[in-house]
Amino acid sequence: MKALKSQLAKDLLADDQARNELRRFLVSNRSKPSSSKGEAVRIQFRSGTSAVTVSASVVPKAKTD
Amino acid sequence: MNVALPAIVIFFVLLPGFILRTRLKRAERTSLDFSPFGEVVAEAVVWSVLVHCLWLFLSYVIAGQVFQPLVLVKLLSGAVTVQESAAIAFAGSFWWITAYFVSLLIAAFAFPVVLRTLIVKYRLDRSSSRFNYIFRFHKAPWYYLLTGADFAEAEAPDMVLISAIVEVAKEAVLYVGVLDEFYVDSEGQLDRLVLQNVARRPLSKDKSVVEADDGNVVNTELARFYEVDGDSFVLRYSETITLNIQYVTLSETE
Repeated sequence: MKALKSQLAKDLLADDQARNELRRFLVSNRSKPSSSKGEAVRIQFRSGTSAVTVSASVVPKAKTD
Repeated sequence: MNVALPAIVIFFVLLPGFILRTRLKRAERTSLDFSPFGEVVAEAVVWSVLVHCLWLFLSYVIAGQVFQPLVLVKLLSGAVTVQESAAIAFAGSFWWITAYFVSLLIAAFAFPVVLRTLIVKYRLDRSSSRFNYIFRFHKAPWYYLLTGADFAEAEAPDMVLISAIVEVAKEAVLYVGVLDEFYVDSEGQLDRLVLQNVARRPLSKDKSVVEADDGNVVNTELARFYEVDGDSFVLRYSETITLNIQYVTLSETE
């Protein structure tokens, strides 16, 4: 089954440079204390003919109550 | 050749309930208990009763056809002489009965697709929905965890990050990547995860900062991780020691 992945995420993963930026975000996210994990990281990538800048941040899971 | 007519009648009467139940439920376990008084059969029988009540009502309203329980009881009888008169009545209404079952089977295929589409589109099954006790697919926990189906549409994240510890050559290795696909086995257990953009490092190299030669503290996180080549990395769940799941949101900025 396909996992959660928005079109924006697919576009980002299609850009080699943005993939490296994202990987940097993934691994650096591991080493930070939990209080700073919500910090956003800016990543730039090409989507079609335009350049898009996004800020990536870890969010809490959905409320279950 | 002897034909067990009652068995065929029961099969056709219960078939719509089985089809409807199977296509409506989102269950990760596909190895099901089909024993006569098991959950699956019980649910299918209940669905059959409900859809037949609805279809008989519609047949009466639309075409004025009245259900004749005596004919059904006679068809289910083991005595050939009793079945004969019912068979004559059946033959007299053959096209109506055929239309009844064909339309019911088509509806049993189509209705669950429409209902599931609506449930997913309006997220009626998410945990905080007021209708979740009716619409939630309780037997699909991985679906809710890994597809973000529990998030409200406006709050849905953009991707799922996976961190998994796997033992490789008697050493624990941490893999980090973006989840692309996941598969469950027939028992409903997570079978494998397909990751993208994967990096890994031995768990033993767990310190994030070291002191450089010049005395400055530097972050070595990037240096300790190294990229895993390839577009898709398949991780078998049975080989993972721990699994961490995080959701990432991407917000467009100017």
